[in-house]
This record gives sequence, structure tokens and C-alpha cells, in this order.
Amino acid sequence: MKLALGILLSLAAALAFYSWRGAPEAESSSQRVVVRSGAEVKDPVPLSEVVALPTSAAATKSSERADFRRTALDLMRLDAKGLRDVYRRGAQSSNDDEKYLAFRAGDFCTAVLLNIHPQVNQEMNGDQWREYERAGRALKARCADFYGIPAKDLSRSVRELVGSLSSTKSDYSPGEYQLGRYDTQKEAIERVRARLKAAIERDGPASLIYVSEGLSTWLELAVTNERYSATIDPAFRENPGTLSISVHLAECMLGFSCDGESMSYLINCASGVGCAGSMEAFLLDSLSEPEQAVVKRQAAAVASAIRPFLGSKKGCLVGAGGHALRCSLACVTQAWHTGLFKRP
Amino acid sequence: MNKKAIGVGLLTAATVVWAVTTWGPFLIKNYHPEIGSLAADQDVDMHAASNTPVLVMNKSVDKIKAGDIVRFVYPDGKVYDMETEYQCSPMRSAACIYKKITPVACVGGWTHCPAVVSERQIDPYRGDPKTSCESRDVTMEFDTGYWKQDSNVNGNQITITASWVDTGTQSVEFAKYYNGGYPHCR
Repeated sequence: MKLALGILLSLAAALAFYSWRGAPEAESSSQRVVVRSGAEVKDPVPLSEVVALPTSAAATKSSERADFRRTALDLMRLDAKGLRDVYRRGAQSSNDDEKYLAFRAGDFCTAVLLNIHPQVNQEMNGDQWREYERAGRALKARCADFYGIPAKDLSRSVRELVGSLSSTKSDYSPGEYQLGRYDTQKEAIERVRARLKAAIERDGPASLIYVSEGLSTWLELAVTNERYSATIDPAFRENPGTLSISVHLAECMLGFSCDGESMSYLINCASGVGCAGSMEAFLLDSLSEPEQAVVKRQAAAVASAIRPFLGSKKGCLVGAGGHALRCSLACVTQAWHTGLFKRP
Repeated sequence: MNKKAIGVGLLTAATVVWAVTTWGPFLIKNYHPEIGSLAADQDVDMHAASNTPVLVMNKSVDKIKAGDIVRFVYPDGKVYDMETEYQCSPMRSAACIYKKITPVACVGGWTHCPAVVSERQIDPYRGDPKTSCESRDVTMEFDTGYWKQDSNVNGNQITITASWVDTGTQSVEFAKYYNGGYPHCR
């Protein structure tokens, strides 16, 4: 009896601690968001429009999403076995999460397997040349577990994976988040805006792995579109031309690996695009100091808008039961302050 | 081959900035000398065409949006316009993925085509095979030369200039294209 009571008390204490810990965390998250646009949001976004209250299906889905989010954030730093496992799991899967991750893991290693050696810049100095050679060796080592696959098969499989995601208009189809140059119709802009917003709310920082290009294009359009420009952080207006770099830099701030071992850096360095030592340095390389300052401000604005959607307890579409309502209220605040997709 | 003095012609110079939808032309030879033609590139799943824009434009490659056209000149002199399926990205190994490849006659017209003739080029010289089975020699004059590319990435603006370097002309006879070769004329 005492034992049962002890367990019950422990559970109650744990539950109380969990509830206590969760609420301030969500609150502090929303307080961390700095809305610098100066433009007041006239109509708070209705609850129903921002967040769907989790159903049991959504709660089940949330554990899968946690897997996706974790793997997406880790993808750039996975070792050879990890990359191969992600590819192997997704190549034959019917699950879109796994297919997308397999596409990215396979894509990293296709150039290595195809033995593509672009002509590199002959003006590299000694240090750059050594870094270029190091990156080539590191990339080969990271792709070592792919060597059993014929290069053309891997390349074809990677194209088929992304093709299959696109043909079903999956959440991971890059085309779903990208505005074409002539997509200036209100409907197209609104459709892409809604998809970007939903993706960020669903996957938080991890969503950048599949929306970053689309997001920067949307922001480029938003700053020049009178319908949206007033609702956008002024940092974005400082230099719309650097937004794509800024969104990639925001990835570094939000937990993607951007050091000298990051796969995206290794690919750029080993193929002779740029060997600045890390992805962050590569992104800022060749920009003037004022441009770097703008890029850092823009990246911080993107990161602070997305950061509230980090992980399970702070995320909007996870949790169940009583936690859901509390989380939802916090998320309304978070989404309202996102700053990337405020209503015009 | 009658070689004339080599000079850089600007007949086909193309200046490309972010506001336009056709990028390039990019010269594959400068970055992937091992790839001689589109067919060779297709053998490696278009990785030369996928990768060349990022080598020229660096991280600004994502200014090439979904649906933009990227123009390439292969070392065999053939020119292709490729339509991007998605926005290009420096974060992928295949920075650009294309959905449609269209051969371009030749920038500046047929005169800059290499001395490899196509049925389409011969056609105007043939006469109409429905009304005539006349056989005649076809001799064509080709300007010969090669493509030269300069590019400059300056902050947010990318300027890519491609020009035809004239090396003279070449006469080619195409006896095998006589109309007499048509079945109804035999």
C-alpha cells in the first residue's frame, strides 16, 4: 500500500513538475521573439487558423515527426553508416519523411560516386588547397558506405525519390514551397505562404531542410510586395538580395551543423565552390562588412521567428490531452509573433 | 580549315542579372572538361549541368528560380536551354535539377554551329522530294570557332558573358543527302 502511495505521489509530483516546467518555457519562448517590424498586428490570428488541436492521430504522428526533426537536424553531421542507413531506410519506403531524408542523404554522395571532378579555381592559395584536399578526403570517407551501390543506380534513385515526392505534391516536394519568377498572382503567393507557414509550425527549425529556398524566395517577394512588406521585419528590407544567404545562416543558428565537417560545406569545398573553413564562413565569405552585418541581422530575425517551434514541448502540433490546450495558447502567441507570415 | 585571326566577337554577348529568366550561357568545358557532349553528361545523370552554375555563381546560385532557363554550351559546340524544376541550391550536390532540355539552334544563328550537320540544316538545300527526285550536291560553309566565357560575381549581381571566338570557315560537302536516296526516287 505504502509502495503504491509512493508511486502515486511520485507520479503526481512528476506531473506537477512537468506542467510547471512546460508553461514558463512556452512563455519564455514567446518572449524571446523580437518583433522588430514596428508594424502592429491589427488582427490576432484566430486560433483555428494557426494551430490544429492535436487529435489522437496527430499525437501518433508527433512521434514520427520527432524522428524526422531529429534526423533532419543531424543529417549534415551523420557518419558514413548513418548516412547509408538513412538512405537505405527511405529508398524503398512509402513514408514521405523517410523518402525525403533518403533523397538528401543519397544526393550528398552522388557526385562522389559518379567521380565528378570539376575544374577548380587555380588561384587557391596553399591553405585553401589543403582545405580543398581535406574536404575531398572527408567527403569520400563519409560516403564510404555507398560504394557498394553502382553510381548511376544511386543517382537515378535520388532523382526518382524527389520525383515521387513531387508527383504526389508531398509535404517534402520542393516545388510546393517555391514561387516561380512569374508567380505573382495573389492565389499562388497565398498558397505558398500557407504551405511555408504550415511546414514551419509542423517541423520547426528542421523544416528549413526542405523549405529554405522557398522561404527566402517568399521573403524576397514579400519585401517588394506592398500587400506584405509592412508586416515584414525591416531587416529583410535592408537588402533583399542577401535573403537566401541569411536563411541558410539561420539554419546554422537553429541547430543544423555548419562546421567544417558539415556535409553541405564539404560538398561546396570539395567541388571547388568555396573552402572558407566552415559553412558559416562560406556563407559570409566574399560579402563586404556592411553586407555581413545585414545578413547576420536577417538571419537572427529568421531564427527568432522559427525558434519558438523547436521540439516537442514547445511545438504546436504535439502533445495530447490537457497539455494540448496549454500548448496551443502558447503557440498562438508564438505563431502570431512569427513575423515571417503575419497577415497583411 | 581556313583559319582567320582569332578575335573575340561580341555578337552573342549575353549579360545576365537577377531580373531575367535565362541564365548563362555556361560553358561546360571550363568546369567539366571531361564531359564532351550532352550525351556524356546524361551518362553521369546531368551532373555537369547540375553543378556548373554553382561553380560560376557560388552561393548565389539560388537566384536561379524554379522555371528559369539555364543555357549551356557543351564542348562539341551544341547549345541547350534547360528549364529548372526547382530553385537551384548550394546545399545540394545536384545544385540544379532540370525538367526539360531544349536544343538551341545556335546562339547567333546557324553560322556558329559546329561542322556537324543535321537533317534540319540540310533540308533547305534539298528541294522538295515530293516534286523532285533530282540529285544535287550540297556544300555548306560553316564558320568555325569556339565559345569563350567570362563571369563576374559582384555581391548580388552576376554578370556572365559568353562570346564566339571566330577561327575561320569550313566547307563541307554532303553528298549522301541527295534526294535520290528517298525510296520513291529509287
